[in-house]
Amino acid sequence: MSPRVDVSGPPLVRIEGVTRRFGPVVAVDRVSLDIPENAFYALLGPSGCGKTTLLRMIAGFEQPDEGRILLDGEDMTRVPPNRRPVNMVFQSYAVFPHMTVWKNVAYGLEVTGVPQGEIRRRVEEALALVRLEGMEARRPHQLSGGQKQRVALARALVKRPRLLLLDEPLSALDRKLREDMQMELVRLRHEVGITFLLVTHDQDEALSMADRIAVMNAGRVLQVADPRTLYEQPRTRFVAEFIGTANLFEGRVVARCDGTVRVRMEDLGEVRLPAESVGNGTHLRLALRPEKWRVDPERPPAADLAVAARLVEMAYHGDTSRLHLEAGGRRLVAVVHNARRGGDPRLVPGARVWLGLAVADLVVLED
Amino acid sequence: MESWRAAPAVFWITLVPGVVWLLVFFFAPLALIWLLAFGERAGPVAIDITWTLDNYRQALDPLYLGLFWKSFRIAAVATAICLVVAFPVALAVTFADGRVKPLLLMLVVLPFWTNLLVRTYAMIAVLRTRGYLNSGLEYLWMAAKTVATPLGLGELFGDRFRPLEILYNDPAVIFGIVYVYLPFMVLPLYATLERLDRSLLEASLDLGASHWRTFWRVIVPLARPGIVSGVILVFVPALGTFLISDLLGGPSSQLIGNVIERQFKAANNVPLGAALSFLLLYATFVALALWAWSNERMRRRAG
Ligand SMILES: Nc1ncnc2c1ncn2[C@@H]1O[C@H](COP(=O)(O)OP(=O)(O)OP(=O)(O)O)[C@@H](O)[C@H]1O
Ligand SMILES: [Mg+2]
Repeated sequence: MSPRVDVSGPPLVRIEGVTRRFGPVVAVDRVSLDIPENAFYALLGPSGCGKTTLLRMIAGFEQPDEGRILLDGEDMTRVPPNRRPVNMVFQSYAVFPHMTVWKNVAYGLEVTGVPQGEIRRRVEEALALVRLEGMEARRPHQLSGGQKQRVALARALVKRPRLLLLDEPLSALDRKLREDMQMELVRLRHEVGITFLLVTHDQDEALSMADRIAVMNAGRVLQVADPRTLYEQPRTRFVAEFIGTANLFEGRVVARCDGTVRVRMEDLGEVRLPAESVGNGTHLRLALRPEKWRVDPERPPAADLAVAARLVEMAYHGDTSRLHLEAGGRRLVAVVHNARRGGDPRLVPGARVWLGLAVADLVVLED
Repeated sequence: MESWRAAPAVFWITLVPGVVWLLVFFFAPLALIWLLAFGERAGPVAIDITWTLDNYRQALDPLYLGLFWKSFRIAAVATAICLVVAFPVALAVTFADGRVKPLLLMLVVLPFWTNLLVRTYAMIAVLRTRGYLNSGLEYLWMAAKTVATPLGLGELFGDRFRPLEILYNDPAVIFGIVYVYLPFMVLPLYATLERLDRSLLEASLDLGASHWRTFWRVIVPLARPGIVSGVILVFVPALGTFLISDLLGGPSSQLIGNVIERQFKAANNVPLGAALSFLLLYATFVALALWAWSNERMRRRAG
């Protein structure tokens, strides 16, 4: 999203084959990542997949059992947390309860011997940045969750770190506030020019905020890509299902001839795929995003594959509706946009509809 | 919380035994002593409550006031030493591995398993002129002298080992109080530190503070409730102690507790003893109030 991100240059952070075990649990398993300077980088994965552990190793609170962490090309692995040019916004905020807002923000400057005048200037600046002016004298127990969040943010930003680590900073906020803070973070990031590394298990958050996302599961990084690629070109079944929803199909190669492969998609029919996307196997797995279906009461003439289906259930989401359908003995999901007020009157449970797909929308998964 | 306030029956029913106990065994005797302070001896055991102020007048004698002051000083020094010794202990237990934690806590309260009198006598055996400590020191002295003599340094050691006079003086009393009341400091400190949110300490390190600074600027201020309870739990009993000063102190180490004890027992002057007791009680209140006030002021200035 940001044109300033230069993925080709030397990375700000390089994580090299990092592993961390807790007894029998391998929390982080041979992870290698490059985080480019100025990126808004997101680590996305389900609960317990090792995101916090990885972040804590970058901050210096955990030591990797194997591997190295480099910052600006320098090995940081043995550097204690208070000497790393990295700051963290904790999952629980960790705002000091015995200090006022002002003292909280000034703390990181005071303990490193920044002169008083500069402290005053920078704290004011940081509080303005997170829009907390006028709250300097308050104590944390007099603040709302979102305000505490901002204090934690200002406290880290005032240090002008090379890298800002954010551990699910928005997960405790209600939806509206979360969306506001998301916008705020994106704005902040452009104003301060600091590299952000955001941990989240919320795929919408990652997709809308980050310009690079690493998807993790069970301690491993499965795919690193920009949001669009991640959504449109998931490489594995896990990524396809974790980011948004996907209709998955088992495919069997029926025939190969001059650059195209005929693949049978379960009982739904056959499609022709370009050979280079298929590989040499005889079985493959295909994914289709639900909004890629063309839902039509009549048979769609232009579709590469048309499937007759029965509408089982319908969930209304305001801007879209999610249709649960049955075709060829299996469940399918489709999403339609409610562009017209009232929606399509023919889409009622029990209705017979046609689903059409374009081959270009099908994704061939690696597993 | 609110819903609990709406169900007062739970509180009343569970409160009754405690309230009765306190009324019968604490407030009633206390009221009795308060009354006796206004009495006159009318015979070997009989005391008439005449509402005389003579006992208080006598209790305010400079001799007693000096003892009050000395008891305060000794209790304050002992409490301060307790705090300094107990903080690292409590911190170490807090950060100890979960498996050894119960063991460490047990070690802290282990001295409670023996009677105070036994413990104090044991301390005498260690500290007295020909006790274990001095025997050990003498052994080291002899060894050092044997080594030093061939080197021509034997002169430095003198011709006779002079045992340290560590018993029967004020430092011995302070040492005894610290030893006996240390667990009362460690336990409340531990209880507060245990509840401390670890991510606050990490946040402090993350913001560039050293461990030392984190200790002073985050751990100590947040341990304040534990410090307050610990100080009260040590200071108040230390102020009234008589057994420790009796056994470990010298003739000049008498504390106000010893005087009060003597009035009730040997001197059989219960009214004076009662008046002295209540003066001590009032003084303790004032001391704690002053301390709480200065504490609060410091806290406000720090925030
Ligand atoms: N200190 C620890 N001791 C033992 N196991 C741990 C410790 N910290 C993390 N783990 C384990 O390591 C794995 C990864 O934990 P981690 O906290 O990194 O997950 P996460 O991705 O941040 O999850 P969440 O989204 O719930 O915060 C989990 O299985 C967890 O139980
Ligand atoms: Mg986590």
